[in-house]
Amino acid sequence: MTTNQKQKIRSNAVKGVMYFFLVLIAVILLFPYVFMLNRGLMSNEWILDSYMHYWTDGLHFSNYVAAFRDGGYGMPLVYSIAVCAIVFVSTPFASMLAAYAFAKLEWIGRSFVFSVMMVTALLPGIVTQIPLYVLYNDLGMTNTLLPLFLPGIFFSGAMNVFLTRQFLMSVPREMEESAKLDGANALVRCFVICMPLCAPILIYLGVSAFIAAWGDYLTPSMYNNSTDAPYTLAYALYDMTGRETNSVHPEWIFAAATITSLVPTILFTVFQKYLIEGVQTAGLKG
Amino acid sequence: MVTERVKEGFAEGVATAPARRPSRLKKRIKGSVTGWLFILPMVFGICVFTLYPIIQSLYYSFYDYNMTSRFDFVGLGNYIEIFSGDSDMPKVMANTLLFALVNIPVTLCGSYLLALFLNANLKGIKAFRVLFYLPCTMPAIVSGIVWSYIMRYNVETPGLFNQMLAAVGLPMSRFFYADNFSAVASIVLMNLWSLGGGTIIWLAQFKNIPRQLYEAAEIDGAGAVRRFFSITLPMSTPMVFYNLITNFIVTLQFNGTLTFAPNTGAGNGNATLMFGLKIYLEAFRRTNMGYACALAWVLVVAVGLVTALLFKTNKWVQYDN
Repeated sequence: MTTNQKQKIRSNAVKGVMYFFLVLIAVILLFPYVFMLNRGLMSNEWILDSYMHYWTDGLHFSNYVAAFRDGGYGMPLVYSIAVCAIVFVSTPFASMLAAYAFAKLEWIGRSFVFSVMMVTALLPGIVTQIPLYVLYNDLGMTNTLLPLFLPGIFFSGAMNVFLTRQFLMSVPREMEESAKLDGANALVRCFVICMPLCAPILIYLGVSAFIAAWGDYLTPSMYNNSTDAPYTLAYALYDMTGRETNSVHPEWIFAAATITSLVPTILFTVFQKYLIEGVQTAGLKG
Repeated sequence: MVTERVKEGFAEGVATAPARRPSRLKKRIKGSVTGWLFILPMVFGICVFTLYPIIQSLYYSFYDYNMTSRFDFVGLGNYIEIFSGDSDMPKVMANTLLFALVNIPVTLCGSYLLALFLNANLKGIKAFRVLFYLPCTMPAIVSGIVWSYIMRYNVETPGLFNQMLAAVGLPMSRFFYADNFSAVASIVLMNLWSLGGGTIIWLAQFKNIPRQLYEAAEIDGAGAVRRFFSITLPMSTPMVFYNLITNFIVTLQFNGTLTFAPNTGAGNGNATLMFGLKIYLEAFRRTNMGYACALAWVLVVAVGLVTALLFKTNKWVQYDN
């Protein structure tokens, strides 16, 4: 009995130590995030104080309004939402269309096209980005939002198509047989019958494409860097941190940064089941 | 309807006879139409946005091209410049290698240890998994801004880290404003906050290890340490290998210093100028398109070589399940 009790005490102590370290690591890991939240809520005097404060002096939510109304982050927010909404829809659709052809249809050249597609996954992006800049420039597409979503409408990325194909292959053929007998064509079978069954992977693709486009400052910095061009929120943060309004009102940067971070954080928390599963299958299958 | 299908099936069976071969080919072509229509958008996308630019970039790499006035053939001139003319290159190579050699082991080992910890059988561990991942949801540009404040070097208005260093009586650090290797070290330090991203894949790998292995080991009297070294670690090697390759490819292209380091990411005295950033700056800041394309092709070859080398030396990977 006493040894049993001893063991219980020991295992409780071990658990206590583990919780202590879990909390400690969580606090350390979250400290930059909380720092950002605090700075977005600071009053102007407090943030411009020569001593860099960690905690805010109050909850100045008016910073959010000011940043988007007067700080120049308003239109970028609208553009960001527009681009991300397009990407959120186009990525699952484009992936589904290509994946259906690979998984369910027979056609000459299928394995060849598939291997060409898979090779593109290994290429460093920068190789294509430089000539694309020349191409966009020739077509008059630089300094518009088009380069941010147009390529993805056609080709959503090798990994995305590959993952959807893997998912589709596990959908049994019988699911489509009865529809086929009723005379449903391939397009109907793909989007009406198979697409809902692929929801978990498609939600993962859509949400992660949204998050990626939301945080992408690099593509706009390449293709729309003229001052009067429409640009997204992430690029606004990249470009405007050096501007004068922002050295006068650094709290606006952090208010805009807070909104820029909260959107992916909330999306992750809401869709974590799909996102974690998606990342895991992407990792395990790759 | 049904009889038609039977007829079709019958025709297909007959078609195997040698005499009817041409019509079978015809049938295959006819049957391919739907598939081709489905794949057409993707093939168009790959051709226009991937294949055409790749060929174009190889072509540009033999030219001195600045998009406006100059378009002169220079042969291998750009490549010779990379390896013997450009005074930035030794520093770029040294920084990239140093970053790869420090950052990859640190992130792999760090996230692995964190995942072992998060694999513990405790109440509420799932909530901690989410909490540890949250820093990764912060977009790169935001964390660049936040970290440039945390690591700010300024004697009058020091950043948070320098406040802490001063509080315990240590000298202030210049972090990524430094003009030596400690600038790269502070990028590695900063990356520790995104370790949670890597843990997700490790945790999936742990779940894939058959339970019976552990049960058998326990019956044989193997302790926790022994179980880790003879089961968990060997069973995670395929994932270690996958992470090693993807991390290498990502590290060689890394240009994230753009968001926080001084001098458009190059740092003071080019202390944070790495290969990915070098290409970006040549192309999009100096419009040396030809030279940037040559650099990009050197990167492609480097990525290919590293991947091939890793595949050649993957004997330590255990692919048994």
